[in-house]
Amino acid sequence: MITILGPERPVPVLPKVIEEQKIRGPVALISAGWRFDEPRDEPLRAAVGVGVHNLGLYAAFREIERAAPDLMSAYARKQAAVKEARSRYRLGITGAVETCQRMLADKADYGDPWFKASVGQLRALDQYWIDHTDRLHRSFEEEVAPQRHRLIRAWRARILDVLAGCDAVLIAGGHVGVLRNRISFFDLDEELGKRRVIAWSAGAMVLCDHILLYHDHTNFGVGTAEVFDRGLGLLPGVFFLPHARERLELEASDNVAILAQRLMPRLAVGLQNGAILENPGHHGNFANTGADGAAFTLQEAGGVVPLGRGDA
Amino acid sequence: MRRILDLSREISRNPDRAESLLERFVRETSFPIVEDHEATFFFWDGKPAESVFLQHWVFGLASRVEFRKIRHTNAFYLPLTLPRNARVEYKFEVMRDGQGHWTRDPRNKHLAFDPFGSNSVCRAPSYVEPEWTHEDKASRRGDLREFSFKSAVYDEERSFKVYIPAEFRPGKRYPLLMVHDGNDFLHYAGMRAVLDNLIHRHEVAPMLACFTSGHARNREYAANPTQAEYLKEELLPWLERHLPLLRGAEHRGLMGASFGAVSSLYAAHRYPGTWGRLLLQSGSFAFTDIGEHERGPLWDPVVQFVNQLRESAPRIPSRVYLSCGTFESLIYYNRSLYPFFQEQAEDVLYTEAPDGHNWINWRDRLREGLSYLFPGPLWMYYE
Repeated sequence: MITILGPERPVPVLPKVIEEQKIRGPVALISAGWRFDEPRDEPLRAAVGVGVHNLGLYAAFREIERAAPDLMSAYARKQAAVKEARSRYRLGITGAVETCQRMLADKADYGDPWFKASVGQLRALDQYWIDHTDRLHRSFEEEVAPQRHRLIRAWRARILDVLAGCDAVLIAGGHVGVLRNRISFFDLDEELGKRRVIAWSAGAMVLCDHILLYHDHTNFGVGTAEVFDRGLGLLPGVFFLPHARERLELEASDNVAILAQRLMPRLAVGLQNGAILENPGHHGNFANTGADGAAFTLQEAGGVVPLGRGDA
Repeated sequence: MRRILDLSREISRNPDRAESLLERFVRETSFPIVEDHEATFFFWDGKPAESVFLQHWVFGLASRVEFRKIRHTNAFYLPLTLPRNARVEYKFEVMRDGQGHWTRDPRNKHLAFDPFGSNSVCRAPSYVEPEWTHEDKASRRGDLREFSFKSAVYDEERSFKVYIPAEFRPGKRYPLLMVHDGNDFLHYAGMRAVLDNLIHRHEVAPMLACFTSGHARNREYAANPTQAEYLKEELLPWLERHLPLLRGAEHRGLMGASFGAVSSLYAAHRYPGTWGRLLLQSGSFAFTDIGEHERGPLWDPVVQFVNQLRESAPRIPSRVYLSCGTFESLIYYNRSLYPFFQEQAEDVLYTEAPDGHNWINWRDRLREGLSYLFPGPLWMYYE
């Protein structure tokens, strides 16, 4: 069972969810997205009222970084190659999004075949980027075989031991790239799929097939939503978009239509504070038990529609 | 203005009640009276005055504007048309016995401070003081440490402060921002709180900022090779020896306002490949197309430098953030240099604001400038 929450600020709903799901604990916590603040989990411990074991993935990675320089320099080379390719990908999607916008400027028809063909080009670039990063990850794994590395195996065994004694895994938000990379570095993708998980913000994003980065209000060069990488793939058919109301121009129906059509056939689901989606599995199959309007979908016709209570 | 006219009419009808009508008016009104595109300034302290003038620093308006007197009173008012998001610093000059006395607006609580004292501030209706400029308890505080060394270039002890972000971790390296007029940026632009907030919110990359201040500031910052040498050959190596700094020009920024901006641009030009990020606010980039400048001998090296720069059009291998207030005389020079930076710099972002040559204008542009030059990982954060 997986429970997805919106951002936990300003009013946390995690304690209520833990209580309603009768989780007695202890629970495991993945707060690697907090990076250097990973161990600063006292407020969360105090709030949830059950025992918490922080898996310490960020710190474990740092320890391996120090102890296995060869492994980590191969990892850094791979990350540098990903970064370099990302600039090409950004170049491509910036132009493709602009084309989509110009198509709509002439004729605001979200079913127009030329518009749809332009969105198709955008989707093709997203897919090419995913395929390219897959190749980079695979090549690193073939070169270094990280999962056979003594240190990683030792850490992974420790992590699995902790997980075995826990009722649930909490995945906190934060830096989505670091969070996803640390989970994958310790090969925990499948393990998490076997467990009860409660995830919020970036934690929710990493459970999807793919992770989307977005912010329409930055002034430092990036602003076109982009696929970061594959997610853990535990929740196919959906993109979770925490803070969508703050980060996306949802009043601009052209932007909403472009994004929704770009992400299709997956569903784009905005999450605000108070959102609770239980047992999400297949496309559109959520039990929405959170606050009204806190979870909503971006529609291919440019609208934003709140998820109804119960199954939507 | 309408309220002043109403008051004036009421006093004309009841001149014997002028005092009490004025008392009620000041009790019920906040000053200056700001409505849409107009600010009405008001002065009355109950004592006789010959005249009152508005002293401000708005280029384009007469520098000393006389108030009108409300008949039967010692009260004065002055309506002024302003952009809706303007911010104007001002004082009153009250003439008594033939002598002018400068004073802040006694009925306005909004003040701005600078090394020369303080001014009253008129905020037009759409001006909002950015919340990220205030100390925020949620933002973890960075540390400010003071250092000094004996400078061979200046042949004297030079001290400076270094901002260390709260997230500072041994083993990690950081970009560097070198700030001219550092003490003033800390004191009058609240730059420590600004850095704390913007780094905490992931809008700006965690960085070390070196706040350096000149001893003979105007001379040192006027396109002076000694200052450029001090920064490149002494201060930067000292910082690199003692602090974990990222290497490479793209990780090093220079910033400054007014002559500090001149010094920043001059240092980047003199040592290309050293400073890859420039934050230039209200730069005193005076130049001449023909004839002599009339700004005094202090500006000679500045005009000479900017003239040479425009003539030789060298590459400026830096990303540049350029800003200027539209109420400054320097707006002409900054607007003129924008096309130069578009051609010669790596990237440039240019911003104008309806404000003057002051620390609050420079403070209010820091979010845009710093996040443009040293973007933080906000893109990646979903908390």
